[in-house]
Amino acid sequence: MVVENRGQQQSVRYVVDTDRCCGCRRCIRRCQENVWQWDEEHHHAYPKYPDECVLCYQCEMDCLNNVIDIQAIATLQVDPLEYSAELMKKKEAEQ
Amino acid sequence: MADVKDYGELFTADILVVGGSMAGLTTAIRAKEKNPELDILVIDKGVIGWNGQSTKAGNGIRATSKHPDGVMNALGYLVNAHTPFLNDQEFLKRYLEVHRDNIDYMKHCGVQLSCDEQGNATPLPFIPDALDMAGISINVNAQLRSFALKLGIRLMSRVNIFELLTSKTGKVIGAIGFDMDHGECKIFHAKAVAMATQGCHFKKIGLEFMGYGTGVGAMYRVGAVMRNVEFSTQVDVVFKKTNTPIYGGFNMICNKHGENLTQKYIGHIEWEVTPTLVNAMVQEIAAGNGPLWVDLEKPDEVRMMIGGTDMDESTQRMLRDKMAWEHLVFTKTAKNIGDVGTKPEATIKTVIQVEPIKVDTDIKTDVEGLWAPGKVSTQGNAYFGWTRGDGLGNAATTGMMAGDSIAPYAAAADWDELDLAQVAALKEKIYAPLNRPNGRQPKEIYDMIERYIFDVNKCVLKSEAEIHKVYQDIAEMKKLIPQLTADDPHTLSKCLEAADTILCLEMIFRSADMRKESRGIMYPHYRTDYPETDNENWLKWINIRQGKDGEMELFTEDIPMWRYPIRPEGYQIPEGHVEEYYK
Repeated sequence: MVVENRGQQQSVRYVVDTDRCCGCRRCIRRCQENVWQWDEEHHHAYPKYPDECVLCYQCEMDCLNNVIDIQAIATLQVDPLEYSAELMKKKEAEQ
Repeated sequence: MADVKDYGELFTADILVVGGSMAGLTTAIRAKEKNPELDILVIDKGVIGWNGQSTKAGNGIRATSKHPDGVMNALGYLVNAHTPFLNDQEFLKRYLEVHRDNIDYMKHCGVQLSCDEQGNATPLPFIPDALDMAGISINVNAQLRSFALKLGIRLMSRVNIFELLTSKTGKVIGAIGFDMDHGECKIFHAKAVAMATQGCHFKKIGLEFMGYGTGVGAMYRVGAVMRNVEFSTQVDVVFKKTNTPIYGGFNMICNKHGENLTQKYIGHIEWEVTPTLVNAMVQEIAAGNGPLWVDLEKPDEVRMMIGGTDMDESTQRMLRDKMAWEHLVFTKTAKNIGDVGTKPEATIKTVIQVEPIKVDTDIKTDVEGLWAPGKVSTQGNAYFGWTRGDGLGNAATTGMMAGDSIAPYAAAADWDELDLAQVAALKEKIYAPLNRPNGRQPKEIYDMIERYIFDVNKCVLKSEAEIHKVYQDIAEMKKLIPQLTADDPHTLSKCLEAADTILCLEMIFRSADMRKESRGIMYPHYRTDYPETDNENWLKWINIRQGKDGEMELFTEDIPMWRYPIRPEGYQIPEGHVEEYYK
């Protein structure tokens, strides 16, 4: 299973080998942001709410069968300095 | 006749602890050890033992040095290093006395720590005879959980709390929320409640762990007082490629012409990322002098101390499990984003954090029956700031202080009846977003708030004009709240969290508006229209509470500097007061 989330500042891809998920649910237990949920129908854990991820990698660290691969696509999509400088220039132009 | 069980599943305990990470578990353990007869229940929105901020802490745990002058040395450091002279020094002194027991008490609770062969922690080199540090297991909460269960403390995982229940006299006697798997309503009835719930944290990117202000909001609505909220911003200089901190590298930033910004704008080295430096960085980018970069091959003394080998003495004792986690984070980042190289581009990362519950030396709030241990009260408890580098020490110390105080209170307290009308109204409020037709998503609000963190003129270099613009935005965001919709427990909690995050945002800007000066080093409050520190008029705390009309109310309180040992240079005891500090 591949789940990709494009956020405002951070984009992440989860590659999960769900066929090999042993059902230990340690990813669910570790996640502080409730990203991981259990799929009752298919009997595996999956990242249902990927937008909440803070990239601590502890789900991957604890995964008993090593089936989780978290791939950060980008961690800084808006540069605060460029964002602020643009706003300042815009304000000056308005004045 | 209506019964509370008509509204949800009811649980009772002498003491209810909300939040099952290190501060909550320590509070429960300490209270149970003090009085084993007490029935104590700890609840958490995650799984107790593997969840919570303490399981994600990168650092070890500090304890006040056992040197005879340890408390006073640490006090001197903290009063000057954080936000000068705004600490409650009487609180801080008591805190540091208990803080001395951190490592011994955690060992007693079965937590794995690393000390030398004599059992001593390592002194922090940059604060002699003041603070020591030990490594601590990443599984600290699992170890505390095991100890708590042996003592007979009850634990309940995956229940999220959003409101507190009060008696007719306003005393806190319980809480209400729902379980995170099925959304079923859970009602808790207790004699005393400790809210170890984390504060509100507005950043949602790599390794910035979130609190969403629901504990702050719940306590605010029952009358708890908030303090020091204007000091909520911290800026790091980061690698632009990875958004991870360049520890200690902030004096090394150059523009594209190779000019060093610290030399160009400040003239001397700094030990924190100051608003002046942030302003310099934005001005350089606006003037087309970017990209900004640092030369990692030429570290200066600050980089050597904070980001280099000088910290090894305290970091070497890190336990293997934590080292393995940090290694995983580092290697994954490098693999996915790439190596930063030796002359990387630099930018900033702003973190805003509200942990404002005002507590006394028992970690008790201004509301009867309500305690607030852990990070949620670090701004309000006068340790001041977010105990950077010592979140775990703060959790242990405030847990011990709260546990010692809440146990005798609960043992002596009577049961007050739950107010069914209140339970019904709060349940209705909590579930209101569920399946609201044509609703909006809470992510809209979080994305708006995230854009605040990108704008330095709103979060770092504040001014009256910018603050007033924020008020307009807050009013717009508040209009979205009654339109938010959810179809599962996770999104329902996000809707409720969004409302309390906006509340916390409003607290920051209302306080920042009121404080007409600039102050602070580690967590600065900076006003471009009042750039100087004003000890004559602003040795005051700004407090916030919910007024009787439901509106936010701000009021100041003079800091009783005449009772404190550490005072600003040239300080004169004001008329009407006399010297009250005696060693």
